[in-house]
Amino acid sequence: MIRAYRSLVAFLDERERGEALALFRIAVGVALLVDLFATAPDGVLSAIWIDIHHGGYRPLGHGNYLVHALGGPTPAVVWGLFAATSAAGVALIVGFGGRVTALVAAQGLLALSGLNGHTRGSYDALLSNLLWLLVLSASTATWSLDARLFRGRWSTERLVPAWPRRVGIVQLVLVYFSTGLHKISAHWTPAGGFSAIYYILQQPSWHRFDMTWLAYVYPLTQIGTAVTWCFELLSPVLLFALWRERRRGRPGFYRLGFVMMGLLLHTGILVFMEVGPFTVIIFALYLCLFGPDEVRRLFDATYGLSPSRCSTKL
Amino acid sequence: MTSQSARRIWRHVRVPLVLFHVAAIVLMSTPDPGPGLNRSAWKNPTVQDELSAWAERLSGLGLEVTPEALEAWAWDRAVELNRARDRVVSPLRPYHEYAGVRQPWNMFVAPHRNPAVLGVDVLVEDEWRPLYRARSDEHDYRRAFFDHDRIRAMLFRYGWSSFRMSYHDFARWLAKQIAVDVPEATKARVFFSRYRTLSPEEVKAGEETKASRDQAVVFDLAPFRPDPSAEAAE
Repeated sequence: MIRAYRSLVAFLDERERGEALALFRIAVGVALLVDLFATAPDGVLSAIWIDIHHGGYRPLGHGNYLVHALGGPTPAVVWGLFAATSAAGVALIVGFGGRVTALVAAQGLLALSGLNGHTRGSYDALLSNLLWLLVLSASTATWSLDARLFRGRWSTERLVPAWPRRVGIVQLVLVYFSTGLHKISAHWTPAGGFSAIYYILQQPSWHRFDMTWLAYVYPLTQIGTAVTWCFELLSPVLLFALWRERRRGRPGFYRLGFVMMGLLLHTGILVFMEVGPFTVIIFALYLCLFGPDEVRRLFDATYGLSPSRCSTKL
Repeated sequence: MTSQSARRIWRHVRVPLVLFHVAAIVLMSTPDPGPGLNRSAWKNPTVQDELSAWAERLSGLGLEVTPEALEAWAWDRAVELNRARDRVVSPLRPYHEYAGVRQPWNMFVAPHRNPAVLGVDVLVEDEWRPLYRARSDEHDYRRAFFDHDRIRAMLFRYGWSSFRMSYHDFARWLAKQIAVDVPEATKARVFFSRYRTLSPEEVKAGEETKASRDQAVVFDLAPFRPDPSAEAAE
């Protein structure tokens, strides 16, 4: 018991270079801006997040503690929160303000998306989870304006705790495993002939364009349904595979397969369905699967040099 | 206290904090039957089809059960699960609410075989004319608004009878917009078209969906327009 506790203390105390976390921070900032700016045009924001007494379509009450403290869901409060959250999104991308910026972004998103539960998507919850991980982590240690201001370099070799990125991996697995457990419809199982994806893509609420042509490639949708269902329910195996990679000290194929499968699944969703910014947000979470060395190697392969090597002390 | 000893203490304080976070998100991500616990929603043909499919499958495996008996059993288990889950996650609720770590991953739980899509008609010179049909290129009033994923998610919910009150709020708001945007219209009719999606065999046989209208509400647009006599007086 004591040995296990000591191992846990040591595990949570592990530190790594900040590139992976910085990349995650930038991706979350982009996802936040995509989420917010998709809601602003065409009168959507005014209709759904502003109270009926000020032009919205339904009574929204007082909103959460923040909206309530600011005076309720009036146009001034809602647009003010929108502006502050957007500014925090930009600050996340450039890496300014450390954890405070992430906290402002998280609370702003919570306040706005919580105003009208009927227009809320799972992507709001996923994004607020990722923002909370940034609150808990030192994500502006490198590739950030903070690093430039406080250490004179855009990129530094400062070490940061590794556990927030690892909790991000747990979060990724939870999203898949939980959604797999929720899929109790016969259509997801052999009992319903693995027909779920075919019928979901016939729903006008979600499909991007008419999908009746799928009837002619129905067996492919059945394979897609079976693979998706198994991928989700077996997602916890990823944690075991990562533990094994750690023990062996070299990357394993399971993680690569998981990433490839996830990319395929979400690219399919992106092409055939309209589910808002979910794909962008979950891709941000996938970045947690890569350590700083891998991120640097990726930059080496892409640009010939990693940004850290390019940096000059100013 | 030196920074080294503070760091040593922090190493131990951090353990329960991180474990608390992980435990909280794991517990909150357990299946939540709460949103589905609505008797009228269970009468929807999509839910009834599911129960029939499972009853048939279970009976085929030798576990004789009727859809009605299966529904009663599933309802009781869902209530029990909901109660047990509530007991476990209630103490964690402030953390979920203020830190934003909700875990609502009940995505695409089941295909909706009987979806409802919004339609809007306007009365112009004693004739009802289509103004909006979901995803139509021809009747595309405020199409960008209706195509937004948050609006589609909202309308998906309002197709269920349990959201009737909010649906009426939305229909009234829409009528107000129409009163301004379509000055020649005297009335607006907002409704859902409900139909059963076609199976692959039906598509190949050239069958077409048969829609029926549901939840229709009609608004006189005059009260939503500015009073011209009041404007003249000003």
